[in-house]
Amino acid sequence: MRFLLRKLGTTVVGCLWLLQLSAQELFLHHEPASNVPKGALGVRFFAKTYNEFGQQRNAGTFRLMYGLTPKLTLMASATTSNHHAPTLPFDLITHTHGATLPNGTTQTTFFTNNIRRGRPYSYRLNGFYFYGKYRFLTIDGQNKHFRMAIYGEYSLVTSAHDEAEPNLLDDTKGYGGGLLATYLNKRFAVSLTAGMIIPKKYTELQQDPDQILPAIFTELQYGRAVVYDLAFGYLLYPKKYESYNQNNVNIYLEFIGRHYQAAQITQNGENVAPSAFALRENNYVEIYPGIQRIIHSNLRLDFSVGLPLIRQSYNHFYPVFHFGVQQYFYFNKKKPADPKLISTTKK
Amino acid sequence: MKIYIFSAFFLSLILPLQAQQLLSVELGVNGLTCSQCTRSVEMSLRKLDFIENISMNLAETSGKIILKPDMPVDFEKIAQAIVNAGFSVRYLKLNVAFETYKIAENACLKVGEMYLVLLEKKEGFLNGEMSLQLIGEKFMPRKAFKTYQNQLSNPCQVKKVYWVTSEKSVFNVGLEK
Repeated sequence: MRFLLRKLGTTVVGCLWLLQLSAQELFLHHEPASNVPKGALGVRFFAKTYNEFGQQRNAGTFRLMYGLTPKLTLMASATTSNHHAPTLPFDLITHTHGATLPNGTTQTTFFTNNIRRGRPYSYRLNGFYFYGKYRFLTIDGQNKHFRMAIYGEYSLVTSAHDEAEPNLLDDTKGYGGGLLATYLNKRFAVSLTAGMIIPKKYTELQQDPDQILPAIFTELQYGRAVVYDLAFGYLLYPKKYESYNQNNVNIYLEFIGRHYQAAQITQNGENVAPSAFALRENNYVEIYPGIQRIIHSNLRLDFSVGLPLIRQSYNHFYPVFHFGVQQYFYFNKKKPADPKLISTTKK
Repeated sequence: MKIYIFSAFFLSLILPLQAQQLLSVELGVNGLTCSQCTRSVEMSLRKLDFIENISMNLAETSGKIILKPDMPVDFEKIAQAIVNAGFSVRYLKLNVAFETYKIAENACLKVGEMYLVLLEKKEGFLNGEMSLQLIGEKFMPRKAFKTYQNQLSNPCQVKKVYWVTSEKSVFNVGLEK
């Protein structure tokens, strides 16, 4: 039995080959225009953490990436976090009852508040997020390339997100898309993302603070957003490639930019002005310096810190720390090559 | 003297029929800089069943394929494997061993079961190891292919040919033309 299990294990390992595919154009937050190799499966786990008024907010995302064709990559992600309560905070959108009118009805005034931050929330599954990109322009040279791709994304996240800013990965459901452009030349890479996010609305029946009154139908339409990201990457080490076994170190500087509309809120059909900071229209640029290490071509580790550069996002507090672990699996029947450099090509 | 002339004439008839051997294929890859990217190309190529071994030059982003003996080679599949890994073909070069091979007037070369058309018009014999670069839309950058586009005719009277250009020719002038 042990022999059979050992054989099975060896066969499984022999059928899978760990392929590390990473370079200075594989950014930590930004998708480049390049693709996952055809038939290769990428597995990534990344997490972010920040402190919100004494409450540590954490989110972890598990992602699968697959190269369907040399030019088409598909991704699916699932995120768990303690960023949200099961329903909207009771003090985000609230109301007061005024005097009783001659017709017997009560005058009600709806308004938004800056909610109390730092409330403890349980961890829950935020939902699923899907992404696909298709490379339509490839201009390759020796040790350089310029590529462009079109991307689309769709989210089934169902969080009670309490800010106007949409985020399809783990805050709001909806869809989006745009263009990617990446330039690589020897040790240096730069990439641009330009796109849009179209979020769907969140709805719930909010319990009236006055328990005897019926629940209030609340609709929160998050603002549409324009995405403008710019990322730089640089291969720091090794100075010269000699072996697959060399450790690689890449450094990154990524800028994340957003311009989003104010939230549109209705309660029982009445428009509620988005006066709270987090619900207003906003634009900002964040900066993410980061570092990536590839150990013996087997494991990619990355770390970055998010800081505000121009205004700020209200989706998180700063500094935001990001961690990532990633590997590619390339299903190959053949025995893998010796990781040492075998020989150089005869000139 | 008559015996020597007769022998030379007889040999000149049979020599082109001797089998020439494809020893290896060299490849250049465009669009990448990192060792992991080069490795993805190698792993993509290793899926091909006619490849015995591959050695990659990380600094030059090139490589050399050692072929399995007696197995037909598919150059389109080699090019496609590079594309599947996410990159582009810079060149594919065939290392062919010729053994006193007379070049036909139509520049058609028979190597194993495949036919090559030498784009340069040469006369005489080929002897020794030669590096022949494949010319084709899938075997080189599009810009480079455009310079050869109008030269690709098929004089070999067979369905499938590969066009090649030689980097270095080795001629044996010991026999009569």
